[in-house]
Amino acid sequence: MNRIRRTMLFVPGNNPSMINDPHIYKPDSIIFDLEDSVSLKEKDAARFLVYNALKSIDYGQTERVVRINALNTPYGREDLEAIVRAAPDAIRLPKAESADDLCTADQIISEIESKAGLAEGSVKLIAAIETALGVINAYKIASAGQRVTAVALGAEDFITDMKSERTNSGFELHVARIQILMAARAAKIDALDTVFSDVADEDGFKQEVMYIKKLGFDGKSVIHPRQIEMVHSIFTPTVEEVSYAKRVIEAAVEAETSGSGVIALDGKMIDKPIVERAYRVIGLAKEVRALA
Amino acid sequence: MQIKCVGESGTTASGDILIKIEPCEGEDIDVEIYSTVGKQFSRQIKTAIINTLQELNVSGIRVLAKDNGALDYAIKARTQTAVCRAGKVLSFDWGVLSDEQNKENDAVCSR
Repeated sequence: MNRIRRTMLFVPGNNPSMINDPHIYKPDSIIFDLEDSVSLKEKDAARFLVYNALKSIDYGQTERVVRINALNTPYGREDLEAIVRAAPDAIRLPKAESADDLCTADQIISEIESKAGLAEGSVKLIAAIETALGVINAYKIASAGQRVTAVALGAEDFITDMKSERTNSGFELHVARIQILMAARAAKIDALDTVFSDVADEDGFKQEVMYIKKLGFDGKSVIHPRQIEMVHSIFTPTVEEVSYAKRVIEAAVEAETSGSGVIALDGKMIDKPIVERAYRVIGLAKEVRALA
Repeated sequence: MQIKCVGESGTTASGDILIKIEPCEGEDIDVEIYSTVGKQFSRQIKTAIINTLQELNVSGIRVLAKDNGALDYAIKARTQTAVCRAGKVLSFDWGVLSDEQNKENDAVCSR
């Protein structure tokens, strides 16, 4: 299934009141977190809670993703043993640094899918890239198998690894964003941007969402329901954009019918990439309408 | 599963339940519930706890539950966690919950 992932809402994995109904805010995806938002002594409790929530709560059309602990921690393997059996749509693997990390996760998930009677490949993988090495290996990570459906930037760990500082302009993340985006495009999977932590700074958030949309990202991780509407409004094609896209497609169809090699609209030449973009705008608008 | 010591899980926050399990003599399951919605739901809470304990093959215990409006899945999860902590389980067999062992046995029997 081709999903749109404009927003991925993080939900702490050990908090039932937050796990009960995050889908009412209509994010495209929910990420139940077993990693950073769960203290070490509550890892077992969060695992049981998210497992049972996935087994019993109907989250509608919202994509259900679980961020597990890294596989080199004492918790990652058991996270997979539990969560894969609850059949989420995807597992978000933190701190992915190489294709081997994804292949290892893929192999473990395949074994569990087989034991649990799930179709092989039904649980997808989203690779979170959060270190310099991960950014350098971004394409190898993004193309590490059919199960990998998206790559995501995790900025806070990346900034720490780089010994740099987080700024409002985000220039310190520019190279990582571009590298991850190019890797995703080359591998034909989704690219997801990092969270914006200052929930009170709506202007800063809006600027960042507009910026990453222009770069080409498919969506953004969010940490609060109030951030969802802003991302959706920026990532959803406007009426004007849809109208223009329709006219581009009509002009292209007309030119093809008449055997004309050149497409013109409002006195401007329309070439193949513009037509492709127009189809993408219409496709996205249809998917958004289907979710509404 | 054998209960070796006191095990506790959950909180008294809204939407959650605090479950405390301790071993006792005999094979009975003794459940005591304090709930903000006790008048309407204490029977369902007790059923959810007992079903979860039976699924894990646990008996001979006393359960104290302090509920603040937890849904069934949370009651189940907190009970499972408390049992594992009380049983000092280091690696839980997740196949037990998804009934994989039974499916394998069925497959062997039908061959």
